[in-house]
Amino acid sequence: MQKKSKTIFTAVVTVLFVLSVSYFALLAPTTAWYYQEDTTSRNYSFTFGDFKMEEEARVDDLTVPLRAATRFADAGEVLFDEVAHVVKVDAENLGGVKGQVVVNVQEDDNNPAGLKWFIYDTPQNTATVTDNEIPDVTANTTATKGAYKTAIETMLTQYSVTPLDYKTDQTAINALSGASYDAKYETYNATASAALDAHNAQKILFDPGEEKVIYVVFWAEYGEVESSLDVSSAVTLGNYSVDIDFEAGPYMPEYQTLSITNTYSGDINMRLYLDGSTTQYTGLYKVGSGSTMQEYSASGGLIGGIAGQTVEVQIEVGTPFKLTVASTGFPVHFENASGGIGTVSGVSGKVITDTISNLGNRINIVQDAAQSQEP
Amino acid sequence: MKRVSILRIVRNVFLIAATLVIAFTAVMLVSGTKAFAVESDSMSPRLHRGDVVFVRRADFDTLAKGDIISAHFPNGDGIFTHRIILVDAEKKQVYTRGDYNLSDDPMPTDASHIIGKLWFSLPYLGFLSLSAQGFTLIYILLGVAIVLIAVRFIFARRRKTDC
Repeated sequence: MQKKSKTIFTAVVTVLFVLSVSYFALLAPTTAWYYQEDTTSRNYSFTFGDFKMEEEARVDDLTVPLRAATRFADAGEVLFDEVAHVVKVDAENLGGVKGQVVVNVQEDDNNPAGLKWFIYDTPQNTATVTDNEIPDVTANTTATKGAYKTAIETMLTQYSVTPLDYKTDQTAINALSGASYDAKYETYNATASAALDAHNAQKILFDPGEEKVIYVVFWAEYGEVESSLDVSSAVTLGNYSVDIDFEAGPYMPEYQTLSITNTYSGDINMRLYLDGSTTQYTGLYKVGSGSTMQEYSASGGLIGGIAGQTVEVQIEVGTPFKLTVASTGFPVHFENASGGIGTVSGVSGKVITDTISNLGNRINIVQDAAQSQEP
Repeated sequence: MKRVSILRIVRNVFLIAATLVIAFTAVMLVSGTKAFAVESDSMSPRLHRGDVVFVRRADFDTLAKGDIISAHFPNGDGIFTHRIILVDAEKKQVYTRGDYNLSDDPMPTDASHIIGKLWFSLPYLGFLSLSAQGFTLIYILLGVAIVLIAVRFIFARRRKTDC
């Protein structure tokens, strides 16, 4: 009997021992950010992953030789690619977390006027192969836009700036706001330049294991240099000197607080979804003025709606959200600082689907005007 | 006689060692301590790749500069273990940095993302989970355990029959 007990005890201990070892064999990893640079003479590259953080990659004192000026906002400019100087950088995220790269270009104070740049990225396996030499402008007879000009024009439309053909769209330019043609031209260029600056400030995101090619396209802006684009001669504007920083790190989403207030005299059900459709809200959440932000824990996206109540949530900048009110029985609509927003959506009630960038960070639920009239 | 004695010693040593491991694991689980395998050298020399850190929940008010904490990344995608360099009591956030890193971590960590404060660490234990052979080891141990238990029962039965 005693031997049997010993046998059973040994068996139990053995099994528990295996389970204990399994516990340690299945531990979650804890990690941190890591950066590593590998710069070759011609093609720059860097990889980053999860070991430690280091200083950003840097391309120091890069000489950007430009043969002639061009105009990035001109849809009729087909020789843009031929006079642009492109720096191509291979980048790879070796880590297990989503990463971001921010590219900063700094000009030398002694540079000639007019240097502009445009930053964009493509997946490694679809990247256009190119080198950093300046193509010979006089030998080029292409009549179609190149890849870089096309990418810039696509970017401009995302910022509601439609590239104009400066030779043929005088009507369009004339229609721009401003007192005179010159003023309108300057206004248009300023809008396009602002779009370029906003675009260049964006983070380039990398999923774990993802490889991309980052392009920095340099050119001299026609309106800012005292030179014209002349395809028949080797006009040389000169050399520009820049430093390019590539700052890699874990992806850090930016959030803004969205305040939603039910100004209606009755209670309603407000529901919030994150992808603009069905993913119910997750994140920090606060009801009323006195409480602190805490993790949202209710279900079904219900975030409140008591009469007079204000709910604050955190929305990632650029992420569309969807806000609904329960049924059409409630005589309410959504308003932001600009006025009424959103739509009635059948029996689902009032709905808005948009981003915090477009709507602003304050939405009120307001009683419909028709209901507030005296009988 | 001599062989039986050696076997007995081996078995007893195994039982004692196994019991200690089981007791240690049980204490960790019951106390709510969380364990993570250190994947990087960002906290070198204090923590190295392959170490296992054991963290215990701690109230935000008890955290101080110099404490090592484990926390979720702001986007919830992974866990990092770094040292607190500044506590912002008003915003309920901490600023952190890896001991071996050249710069502070790029963003503060909200109290809601903090898992716990470092209690203690053990070296090398983390390689079990960090290596690709972790699962293989489990299967091997499970197989050996089944075989040993089966052999033990067979021998016990045989002895009974012989008697």
